[in-house]
Amino acid sequence: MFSVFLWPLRQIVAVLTGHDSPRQVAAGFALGVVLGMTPKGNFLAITVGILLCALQVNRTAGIAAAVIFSWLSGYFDGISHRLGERILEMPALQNFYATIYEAPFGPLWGFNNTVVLGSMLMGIWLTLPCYLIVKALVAKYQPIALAWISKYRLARVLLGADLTARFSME
Amino acid sequence: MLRIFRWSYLAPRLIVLALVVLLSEYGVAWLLRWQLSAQGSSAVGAKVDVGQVRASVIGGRLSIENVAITNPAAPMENLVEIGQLEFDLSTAELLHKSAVIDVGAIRGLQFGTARTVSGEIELTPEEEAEAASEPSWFNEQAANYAANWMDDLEKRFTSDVNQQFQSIGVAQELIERWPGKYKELEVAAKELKAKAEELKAQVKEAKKNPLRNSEFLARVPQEAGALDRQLKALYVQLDKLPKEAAADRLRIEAARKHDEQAIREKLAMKGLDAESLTDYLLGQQLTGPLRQVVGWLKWARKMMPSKPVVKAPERCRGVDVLFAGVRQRPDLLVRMLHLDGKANLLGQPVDLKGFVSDFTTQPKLTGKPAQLELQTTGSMPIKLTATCDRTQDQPHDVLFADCRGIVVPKVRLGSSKKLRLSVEQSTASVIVSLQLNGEKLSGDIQLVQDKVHITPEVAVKIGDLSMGETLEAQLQQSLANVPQLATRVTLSGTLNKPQAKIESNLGPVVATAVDGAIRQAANEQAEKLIAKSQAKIDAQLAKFDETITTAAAKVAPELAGPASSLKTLVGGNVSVEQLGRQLPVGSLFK
Repeated sequence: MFSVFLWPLRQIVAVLTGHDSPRQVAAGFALGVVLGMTPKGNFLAITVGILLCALQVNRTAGIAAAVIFSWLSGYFDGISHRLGERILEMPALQNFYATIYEAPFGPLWGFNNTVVLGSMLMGIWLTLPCYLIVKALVAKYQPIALAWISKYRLARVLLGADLTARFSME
Repeated sequence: MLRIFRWSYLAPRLIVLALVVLLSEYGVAWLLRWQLSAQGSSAVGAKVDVGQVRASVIGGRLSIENVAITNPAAPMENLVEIGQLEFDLSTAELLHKSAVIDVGAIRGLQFGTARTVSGEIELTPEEEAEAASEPSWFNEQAANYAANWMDDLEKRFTSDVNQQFQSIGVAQELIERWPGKYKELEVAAKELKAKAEELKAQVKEAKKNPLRNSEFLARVPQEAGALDRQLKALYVQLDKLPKEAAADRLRIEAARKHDEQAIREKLAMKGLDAESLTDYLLGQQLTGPLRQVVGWLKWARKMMPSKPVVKAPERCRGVDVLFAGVRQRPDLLVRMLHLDGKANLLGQPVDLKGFVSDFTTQPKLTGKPAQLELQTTGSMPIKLTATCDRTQDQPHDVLFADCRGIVVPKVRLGSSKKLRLSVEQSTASVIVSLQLNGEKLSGDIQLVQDKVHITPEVAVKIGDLSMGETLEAQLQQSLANVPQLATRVTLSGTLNKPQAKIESNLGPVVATAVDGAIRQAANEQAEKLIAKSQAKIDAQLAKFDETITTAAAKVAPELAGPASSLKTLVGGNVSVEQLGRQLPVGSLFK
């Protein structure tokens, strides 16, 4: 039971101590950005969420990014709405949209909502820079963080089980 | 490639998803059963029982058995009972968040069946207030007027008219007063006689010694004169009395004439208003069916609200763009629903078949009004069509029913026991045509009953007259000539405050018959009362005359007494001067 409560802390420490590779952390963070930016309650958000959990990416970084960007996305609704509106009202794409919408589950994707589409596109647009930045940061600071954290007994305790498992694997 | 997936996460979740899909085949049924019962009860305002529900999302089939919707007005009765509901749902439309029933069937439909358990549910204060505000259909004042008229009739005829006769009072007063008058004269005569006797004795005594009584003897002519004047005055009074008595007799006659007039006025009643009588006779009888009709209209409005239920937007953020060429779908659409069942109309079981088409929760999206068509077969053929149009801003409902040759069981018309009509079983045709524009209700219900046999029941007690029987006979005669009973109920007002106006040939026929019978009875009663009062007055007058004669006979001898005394005193018919001259004093001083 205790380990259940400690799991989030262990995950945070694991992000910084190299449990996952910088690429996995960055990919998880990038997916989290898309998930965070997209309003929930539609198939798009559910799909991104499933991808975050199903792919070999760092989920902790993804969830953290989703929480942060969910909060931030509210401030960008105006821009998201305008962006989504512009794209959804493009005459050339109307037939395409209509075809998708008329397809089975079409309305459940929620892409016909201006904010949903705008936010998701903004999230996708943010994916690459976020990925690159996070990857670089993790690669640079992960060893430093590991050394710093290892000095503390609590961190060692938190890492204990994972490290044991890791070493035993090796 | 496959290494990028976290299979330890995906595999169990895919298995769970598969299980959920499988379970949903059963879970949806359970969820639907619960939803139908809870939402149905909330919508109807009474318990909705749902038996077995079988649903297949993949197969697009839904089957519900044994549905019982309680009548909110009668918790031990079902408004509707359904044996089986079967729907073929469009799976493709379900994937578009829309439940479209292409074809459905309701079998074993029954109305007004009894319940074993009460289906009453606790209502919110708003719902209770709505249920309590039962509208008054007819002009109650008019219906009461008719009942009051009957009461008034009884009162007029039964009140003790004798006590109100002025003539009897006048005669009585005179009979009591006249003996007193004669008594006064008699007493005065007696006093006068005594005085005259006394004077006579004194004179006799004085004559024995005239010198000593010279002064007295000198006064005797004056005293005798005074007595004589009093006597004359009494005679004058006695002479006047017959004239006064004649005047009093005239007063009694005048009072009798006044009494006669009063009796006739009292018994003369304003004719019974035919319209009010119609309301009185048919109002209560028609209130129930009308309440049912409007109840169904209200129910239809509840099922298909005039304004669509505005759901809270799923996403508060952004705007949902409707693409060109995309078909908007309603949340629920029933394209065709076949109905099959039984109903009990006016105590007769009938089989009914029909259909409901284009029923939807968002009619503006389909652009078609919902239609209901029902047809009964059997002894009571009825064709009913109803249209609920919610495609425009203003809701518009139309109900048309044509029932020919329906058998109307024996009914008793009229709420008061004083006047009731029993209409024996008859055949009738009913045409119902109602419109509901927004909240405004209009239309009419026409009922034509052929070969009616109406039996009147009158329980009006009118003094000692056999009025009930007279009235009944009169009514029977009038109502026997009514070949058919035509009633038309015109509806107006709103759905919450409906008003109904009844027109029928029954009211005028009964009113005319009642008026005729009452007029005849009133005349009879008046004549009887007048004759009775005349006899009483005659008796009183005879008594009056007798009283006067007796009294006069008593007074006359009483007056003769003082006259003879005075005569003796003066010795015949002499004047006072002569009397003075006869006295010895004169001679003495001569």
